[in-house]
Formats: sequence, structure tokens, C-alpha cells
Amino acid sequence: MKSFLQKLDFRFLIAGEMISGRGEDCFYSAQKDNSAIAAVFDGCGGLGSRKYQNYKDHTGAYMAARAASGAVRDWYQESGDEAGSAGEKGTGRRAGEDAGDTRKAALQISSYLTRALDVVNGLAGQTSRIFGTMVRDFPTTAAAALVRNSEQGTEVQCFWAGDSRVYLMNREGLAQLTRDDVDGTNAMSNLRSDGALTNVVAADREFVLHAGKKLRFGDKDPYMIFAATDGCFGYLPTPMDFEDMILTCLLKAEGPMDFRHRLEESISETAGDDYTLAFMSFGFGDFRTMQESMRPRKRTLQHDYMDWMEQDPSLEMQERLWQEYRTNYERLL
Amino acid sequence: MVFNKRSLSYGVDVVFCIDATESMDPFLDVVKENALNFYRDFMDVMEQKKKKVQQLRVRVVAFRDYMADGREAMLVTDFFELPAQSRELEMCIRSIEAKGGGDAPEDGLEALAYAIKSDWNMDADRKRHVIALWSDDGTHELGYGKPARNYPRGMAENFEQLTEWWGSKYAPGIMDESAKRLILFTPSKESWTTIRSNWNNVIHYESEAGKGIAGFDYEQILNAISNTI
Repeated sequence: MKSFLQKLDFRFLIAGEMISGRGEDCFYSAQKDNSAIAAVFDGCGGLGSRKYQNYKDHTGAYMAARAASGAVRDWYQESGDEAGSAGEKGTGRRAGEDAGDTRKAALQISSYLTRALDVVNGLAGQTSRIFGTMVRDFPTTAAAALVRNSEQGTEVQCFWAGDSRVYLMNREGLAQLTRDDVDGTNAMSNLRSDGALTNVVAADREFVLHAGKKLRFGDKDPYMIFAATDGCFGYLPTPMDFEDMILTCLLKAEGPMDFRHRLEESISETAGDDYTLAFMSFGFGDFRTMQESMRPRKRTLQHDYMDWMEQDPSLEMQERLWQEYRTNYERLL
Repeated sequence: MVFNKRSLSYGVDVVFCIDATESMDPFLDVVKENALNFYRDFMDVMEQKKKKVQQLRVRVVAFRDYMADGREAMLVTDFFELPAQSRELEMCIRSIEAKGGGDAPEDGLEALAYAIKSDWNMDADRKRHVIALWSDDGTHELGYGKPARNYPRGMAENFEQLTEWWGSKYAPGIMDESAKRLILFTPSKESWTTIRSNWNNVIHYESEAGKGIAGFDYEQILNAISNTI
């Protein structure tokens, strides 16, 4: 049986700021002998734009993302390799038990987040002359992917609040594992509506840290998994464009670090916000195998979607293609 | 360049509602400068954040008091297309004079109603529909000026109806729920305090008459409008 570290091909981080020194995103990525975690946090600059002299004039959004990152780090480090698990092996467990594990982990992480934001809020000191329903104390999104070792392969859990996302990409294509906490109907409409967040981690209000269903993957079922803030995907016209961006960069790259470099360059060209992406891949073995495994998917995507959108870039065509695409894109929700 | 894709662009409409009553005289010039700087600064922030603004339009509503000021109670323009009509916009704003107003509260709610019913741009990929309102006082109840001959037909009947026009997450009003933003630069008086507590997408900068906005707070307001909420 392969060890967990043999199953983990590589992981990397991409992070960029729209205005140098003023970025409000943050991340946490780590691994242990039998697990790895990739998490991103997008301090909500619209709701949390209040600045605090006690925090060297940083915004509430900036502080919240960092406090949340620290809280998830503390939870992961203190939970040992049993993070997100009841401590039993994966085989033969009922779905209800899996859901119980995941919910329990979400509650544990929530309590770490609440404590961290309480501390930040308690030390903030200053009050502002700005009020209103668009002003919140220390708001941030959170999206985390936790991958654990199992006898047959690996198991994946994800947790989130807000509109940062966890994605999985395998030979079947891109799949979103999280549901946006946004006033909108689906991943495509959310891109254009730019709707208000309905749930974020914050110090002044209760929040829900959602838990996705536990997914299991065999050793012969390789995949990439990544958490991303909306700067990565939110400024492209369709979800198909985001998958195309990732596959294009992957297939042109000379190796993992070149893939990372190309992806960062592509994201920075389109982003209208800070962007952060924490990436891990499992089970491919090496980079060339990963490329060859994904090449057929790129051909399908190109033929079924991208070529059509190039011929007819109208909104109607994008919407029609999205309706065809979304069944596969939402297959793991 | 690794991956060449079109990114989503913004259409931005801004309505300035400016209290033009006599009590504003000592600081109307500051408000005018604020208004003129506001759209330029907002555009700078959008540019810094690489948010592409495809279309920018600004409209002006100058308000006083229907009972006291008759035909000069409400001065309303169409949208100015910027940058093409920036000179006309500047002339329009600079021409506003502080006069009239009668008693202390003004008809700010009627001005807000005009702003809400603007002909908003609905074509852009992403939209920002911003109303920025300056006043040094509270408001009359909506409809206080009804006895005046020029009180507008089709005005919201009362504050509850105006609240319906603004809308909410569960019952959208006239404006696009995702795009709308209301920024109040007013004292903490009625009806502004009710609005800031009960209407969604509102920022209230609690201003003191004659004092400008601290740079610290101003930047917060610009960031709140330019970012997703």
C-alpha cells in the first residue's frame, strides 16, 4: 500500500494582490504524514472596509482573513492526523457516519474561527462614524479542502462560508465542491450578478461553516483539488472558461512549477480582485502522466464548448452551453 | 500571455442628491467638490483594482422643500455620459445655489425617490448603481409637500412605499438588488437613521455640518462601493 506522501504528487500556492501591500486574501496550506489541507480566505473588502488604527490602519477584511487562516492552522495542527475523522477506517462506513464526521469537524473549525475573531474584535478598540447595513465587523470568506489517507486511496472533505470555492478536477472535468453563499441561482449567474454574500465568517454575527459530503477516491482515480478565492474564477465570463484556463496552462507547462507560473499569469490577467489558489494533486504519479490523463478532457472541452463560444460569443450561446455543462460541473455537489 | 480571455466589465451609474437649501450655504462648495471628486476617485479605485468600467454615467438631483420653494424645490437632470459630458456635469454641479428651504427638515425622501426611479443601465456584465446623498438635516415625512402645486404625481405615497421601491433581498424593488448602493452623508436624524438600520446595501457617514469627510473614512466608503459585498 502506498503511503499518503506517495499519493500526493505536488502542491503549490498562487497569491496576488490588486493593489500592492493592500491585499485582503490569505491562505493556509500544510501536510502531515496522513493528511493535507489547502485553505483560502478572502477578507470581504466591501463589508469590512473599516480601518483600525490598532491594526496599523489595516481593514477589518484584512485582519479577518488572517485571523481565520490562523484559526484553521490551529485546528489542523491540534487535531493531528485524525482531523475531520472519527478515527475509523473508511471502508464499510455508512453515509450518515461520514456526514456526522464532517459536520463535527465543521463545528470544531467554526469554534476556532469564532474564538480567533472574538480576539481580533476585542483588541480593535476604535469606533467609526460609518454605519449601515453594508458595514460588518471583520468579515471573511473561508474555503478549505482536507484530504486524508485511506486504505483504498484518499478521502476528501471540504468546508466553506461565502463565495470562495473548492474545486476538483479529474478526467471527467472540473467540478465545484462548494455552494456559493450568494444571492444568486448558480455558478454562472453568480459571475454576472455580483450578488451580495448571504453568509460569511464574521465577528458581529453568527455564521455557518458548511461541510460538503465526504468523497472517496481509489489509488487509480487521480485528481487535482484546489481552494480558490473569487479573484481566480470570478472575472471570467463562464465556468467553462475557468476549466479551459486551467487545462490550457497544464498542457502547455514543462513541469509543476511552470504550470503554477502559467496559471498565476493567466489569473492575474483577468482578475479584478486579489486572488489566492491553494492547489494539491493526488494519484497521477508524475507531471507527464497528469498531462496525458487530462489531454482527452481538454479536447472534449474545446470541441463541445470553447469552439462554440469562439464562433458565437453571445450571452445566449454562453447560457445554452452552460446548461449543458453544469450537470457534469455539479456532479459532486 | 498564457491565456487570452475577455474579463467581465462594469457599467456604473451614480446619482448625486444634493441638499441645496439655504442652511447648506456655508459648506455647499465643499459638497460640490466632494461630488465632483467622488466619481473621479471612485473611477481611480476601480482602475487600481483592474475593474474595467465600460460605461460611467452621473445624474444630479438638487432638493429643497416643496412647501417653501415651489418650482425650485427639486432640480433633476438626465444622466451625463462620462467622460464625454464631464464639462456639462461640472457646470451643472457648480451652478447649484444654496437658497430657500423654509423650516429645518427638507424633502430628502422625495429626492431619494427620484434617484431610485432613475433609468439605470442594465446592459453591462456587472453593474453598480450608486446613490450618494448629502444633507445637513433630517427629512420631512414623505408627502409633507403634497399641498404644493408642483408636488410630483406618481411619488411614493409614504415611507413604507419608498422602502418597497428600494426593495430587499426577499422582495426586490425598482433597482437591481446586486448593483444598488446608497451612501448617505447626513447627520443622524430621521429618516436617515431609519434607512441605515433597515434598508440593505446602505452606508451612512454620520456627518457634522460644515465638516468634510476624513480621508480615512472616505477611502472606506470608496472601497465599500467598489468591492463585492
